[in-house]
Amino acid sequence: MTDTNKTVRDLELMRQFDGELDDDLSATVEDFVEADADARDKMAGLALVGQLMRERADADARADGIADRVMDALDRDDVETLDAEAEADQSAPLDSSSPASRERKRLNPKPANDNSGTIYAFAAVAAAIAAGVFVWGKTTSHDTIASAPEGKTGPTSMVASDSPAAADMRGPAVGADDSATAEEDDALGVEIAAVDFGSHSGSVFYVSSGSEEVTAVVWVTDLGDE
Amino acid sequence: MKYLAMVSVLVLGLVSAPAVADPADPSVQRLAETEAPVAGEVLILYGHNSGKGIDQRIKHLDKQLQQPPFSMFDSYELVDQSKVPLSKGKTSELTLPQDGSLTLTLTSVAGDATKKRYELKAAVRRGGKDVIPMVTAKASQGKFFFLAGPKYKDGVMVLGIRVVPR
Repeated sequence: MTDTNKTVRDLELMRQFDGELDDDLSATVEDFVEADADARDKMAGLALVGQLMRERADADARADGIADRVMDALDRDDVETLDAEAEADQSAPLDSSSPASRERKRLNPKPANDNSGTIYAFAAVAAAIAAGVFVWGKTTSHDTIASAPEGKTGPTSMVASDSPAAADMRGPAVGADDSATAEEDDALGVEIAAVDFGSHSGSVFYVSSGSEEVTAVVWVTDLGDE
Repeated sequence: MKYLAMVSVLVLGLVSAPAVADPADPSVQRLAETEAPVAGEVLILYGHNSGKGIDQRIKHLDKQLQQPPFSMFDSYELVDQSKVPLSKGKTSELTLPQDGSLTLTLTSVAGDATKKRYELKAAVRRGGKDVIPMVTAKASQGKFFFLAGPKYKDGVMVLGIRVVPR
């Protein structure tokens, strides 16, 4: 005896449509659907969706005639024909989905795990990075070593913001990469390559002394009570 | 892809070759010890605010001393003027007022005969303590650079340093 008064949920309707319910429950749902217009509509909707999905799947299968064509060619063992097609395709961009391309790959097999291309690419990039670091090291090592403070671990810096007066701060920063050319050095006249203020604070100023000549001033803040 | 990698390495090798040959660059060529001897000229200045103006003996520094940061003092007086011999790699010491000392080391000479650049390391100590632990300066011959700030009397001490023929 089934209870047709029992409310059937959408999930049970879907399971009924898919044929997943046991006999007793299926009979109950079937009775409910016969008695309930909404439930009938839902079942009709499920049927419509299912039909559309099947039609779509059939359409996709019909478009895959290429595979059938290749398989037919294989059955005929007509490799020469395929080679001719492949040669004809040489001048055109290679379409990996074309039968000729696929057959070419079949006739010239590569291991599935052939990553040699990727490995060579990575090797080239690594070599480029290594060469770049090498060149960079070669071009900057002189100044870096020459400008390193000796015997002190205190800060080596140019403090511009706490200068006692607003000064002309032309010229390179202390400890910065010495990329100025010889001509720029001559124009500068003097360059402070590095400063170790130790426990004091200080600033580096570049002061114009007329024309284009510039001189450098290292000004330390000496409290005098140490 | 193999060819691409090989070409990349080859191109990078060609590009880096000039950098490897850097020591041959005349701009960084170190001159021989047989070059003309030089000395470090040191002007010891006393900067203060007394309204006296700039000492007549240092009038040639007038333009610099009227600009910041020097302009925080209106008067500059020449306390002393000295020369210390400079030899590459050797440190020379000059005694300063108030138990102070200035050490100068000529670390390198670069450039050709007409445009020499001298690299000097300078340090100022007073009473056995570092006041300016280390300054590395690069200067052409005859061009002053200044170390300033150590307290002196009612103002500051300013050291003007330049490389001159010995």
